[in-house]
Amino acid sequence: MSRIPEGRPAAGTPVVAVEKLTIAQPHGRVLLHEANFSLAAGEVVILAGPSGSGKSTLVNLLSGAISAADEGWRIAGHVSFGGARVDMSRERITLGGVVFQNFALFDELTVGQNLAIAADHNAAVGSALIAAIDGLLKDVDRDVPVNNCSGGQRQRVAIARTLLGNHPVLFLDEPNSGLDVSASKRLAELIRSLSTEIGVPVVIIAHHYRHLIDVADRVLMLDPRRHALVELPANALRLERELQAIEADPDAAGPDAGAPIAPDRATVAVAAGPTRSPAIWRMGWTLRFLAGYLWELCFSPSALLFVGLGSVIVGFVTTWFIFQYLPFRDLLLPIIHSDALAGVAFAELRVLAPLTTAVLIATRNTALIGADIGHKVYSDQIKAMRNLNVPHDIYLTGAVLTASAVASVVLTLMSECLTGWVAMVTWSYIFPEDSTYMWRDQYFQRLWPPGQLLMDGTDWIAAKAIPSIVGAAGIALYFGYKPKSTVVDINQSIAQALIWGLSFVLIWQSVLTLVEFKFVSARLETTF
Amino acid sequence: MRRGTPLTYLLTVGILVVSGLLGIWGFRGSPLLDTADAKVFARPGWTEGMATPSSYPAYRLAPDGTAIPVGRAVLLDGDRVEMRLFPDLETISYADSRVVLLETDVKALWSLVPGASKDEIAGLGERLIGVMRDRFVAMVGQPAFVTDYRMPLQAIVEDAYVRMWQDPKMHLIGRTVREMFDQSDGERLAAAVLPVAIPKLRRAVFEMVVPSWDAMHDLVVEGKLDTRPLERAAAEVLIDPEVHRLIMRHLFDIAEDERAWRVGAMMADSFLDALLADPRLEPLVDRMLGDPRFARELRTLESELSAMSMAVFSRIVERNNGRPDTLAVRVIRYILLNRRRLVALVVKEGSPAARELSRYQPLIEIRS
Repeated sequence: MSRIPEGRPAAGTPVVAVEKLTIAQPHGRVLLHEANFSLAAGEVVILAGPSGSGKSTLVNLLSGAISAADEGWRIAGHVSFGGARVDMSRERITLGGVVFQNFALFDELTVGQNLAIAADHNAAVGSALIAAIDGLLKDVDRDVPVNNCSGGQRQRVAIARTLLGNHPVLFLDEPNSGLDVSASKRLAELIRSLSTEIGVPVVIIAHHYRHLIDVADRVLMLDPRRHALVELPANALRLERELQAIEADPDAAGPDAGAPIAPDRATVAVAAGPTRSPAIWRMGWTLRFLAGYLWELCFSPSALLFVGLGSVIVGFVTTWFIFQYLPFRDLLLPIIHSDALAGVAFAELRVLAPLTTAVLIATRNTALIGADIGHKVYSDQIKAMRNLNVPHDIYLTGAVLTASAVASVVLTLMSECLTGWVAMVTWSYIFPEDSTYMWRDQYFQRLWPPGQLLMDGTDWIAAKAIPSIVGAAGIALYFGYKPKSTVVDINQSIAQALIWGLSFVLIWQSVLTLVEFKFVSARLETTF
Repeated sequence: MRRGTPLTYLLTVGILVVSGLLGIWGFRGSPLLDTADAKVFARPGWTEGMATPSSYPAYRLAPDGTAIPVGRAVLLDGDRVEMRLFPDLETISYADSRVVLLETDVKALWSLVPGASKDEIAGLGERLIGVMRDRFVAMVGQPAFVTDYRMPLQAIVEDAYVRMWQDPKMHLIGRTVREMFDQSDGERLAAAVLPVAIPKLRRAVFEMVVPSWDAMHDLVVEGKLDTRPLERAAAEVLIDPEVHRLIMRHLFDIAEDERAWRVGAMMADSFLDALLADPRLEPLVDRMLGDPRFARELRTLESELSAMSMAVFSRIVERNNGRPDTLAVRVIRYILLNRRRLVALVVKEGSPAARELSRYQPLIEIRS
């Protein structure tokens, strides 16, 4: 991990100032109206408020997860940081690194890789921060997958990873959710010491603030009655009273609260903002993700066996039933054998093998992609990637589509090989006296004339296989990336991806096969 | 995304390698066998104009005449033909064999018919002629034919015959027939037939010229000569078994000559053109076919012709195993489609097939 010279402001120095912030949800509800607040270096702030008051929205806005460009959101106000003043109605703000409630660690990576991916996509952090992270993870083996860590270890890994994102503010979303009293107290102490040590303001969103408020410097409470952000002292009893008052009379407006009006929608493109550089891709990480998806979607033994079994069925069934159950077999076989084999070759190699492969692989991969991306969305991994400046459109979307394209080529080729061989063996079993070279001669007589490098119609096979499998993967990505709030949403997205993905494969293959027949019939007529 | 283990990686490599090898086996042949036994021959001049490279199936003929695929003939550029035999066929080789190239025409179809089948077809031909003659005689012998149809029909046919010979094409046909007769050893046929025919004809002539009052009267007064003894003698010659055998054999020889089919077709065309041009024919035939007095004869003729034509077709297409021959079917298909295609045959010297295919020139090997 590279280091940069220390440059953090002294504790208590204001580092972020937000002015006249107004946030309206897509359906028009105003969460905040011209709110002002600031954050100072090294301070710990509790962000409180009743459920639905907009705590997460505020964090999402300041961490770049939402902006005025996103569908329906209306945002106005300015934020000042590091000498720059940014209009939030025009630019996406990525001030804060977020430690998500469920940690949003990247499942397929080890602890060390989770840290490395954050470090590789952000400016290098100082030695104090490195030391703090080392202290934070002193009992964590960095070579183990994150799933092997305990809940506490995972939380600390998530904090460390977010710190490596090198954001000016650290947001912790419900960090003590699910912790017992002693663990919650230990966490509070950890946050306090970390904040002091690294000199970054820490904002904690908490419903269970009892133990956390002890280490906080102050409280910012979202008051939905006045659409305001109210600053309170770090006093649990005071906060409790305020919240009870809101709960008792949620509709009571304060003396200065008029009827807030949502700001206009942004009419210009929202820029990335001055605080962060655009996400950059790293070849190493690109290859790592691509390798992972290639393995899962193409080279995994289950994918190969899937296609292999499908090919065996196509090669065997077609050949067996045509030559064993031909009406007037004894009479017709000598007449049509040669043409029947040529026809079987066409049906098997140009229609059924690509179709079966596409259907099987689209089914398998659509479910896998839908589950994988759906899970990443549900567990906030996509948000975490955005927050950490990791280009998920390249590492996930690009890798999935590339791996699908490779899978379509490799698995279709494999299917062609196996289908052809099984057809030959089946034919040889039916006609044990005859030469397999005769089979080859007649099977390929129109499909692969002697001296020709590639089989006739290779372009058609590619045109059917690649777009159908890649298209199904794209559909799975579309449903996978849709927002998910429950596990049921993931299941539904998988089901929808399967239905639409398979429909696409069947429609694409059918239409292209019909077009192909138009070309082929004219050509066959001349070679007959 | 899950990652694999060394075992799954190994399994993947194994599956891919095995699939690839099986694909090579399926698409290109067993890696354990030598490549195809290939020889290059000079390409016959008559294949000029056929696209290259293009390939055609090669067969050998079993003793019963059944064609068995044994390889492929590829027309190459530079007037070469490459023959590739299937390497897993141990029973086929170039030793004691010659390779011939056939165009898929009627001549090739007839050449592929085994000798025994040709004899059967000859027998069927005789029967066919007999049946037609019997039915025809039965019809024309009826009073109804004599009274209602004979004269008009005779006039139509005679006119058509005269018009046919007025056609300029017939001069060419006449010359071709004479050449064919000469080439098919017509003199030998005449030499064989004459010893049988001359005594019978001599007796007939004698009967014709022996003076009798009636004959002298007819010849001098009415200018008529009684030719009945000559007609009777000609009929006796034709039904003689030895003459019959010789003529049939000669006809088959002519039938194998492509020109015979062309000449026959041209003559038939000319005659039919002349016949059909006569406006009297159609109403006469319609009336005759619908005449209830001939219904029984026509029905019998139709069923017998149908059965015999099926039998002839079967003898041409089927072989001893009772199944259609794949090569004969192939040739018929291309004849029907009117497409110019080739087949190659590996013919073992001394085999029955070699005799039937003796008029095809063997390909000459090009030694590198």
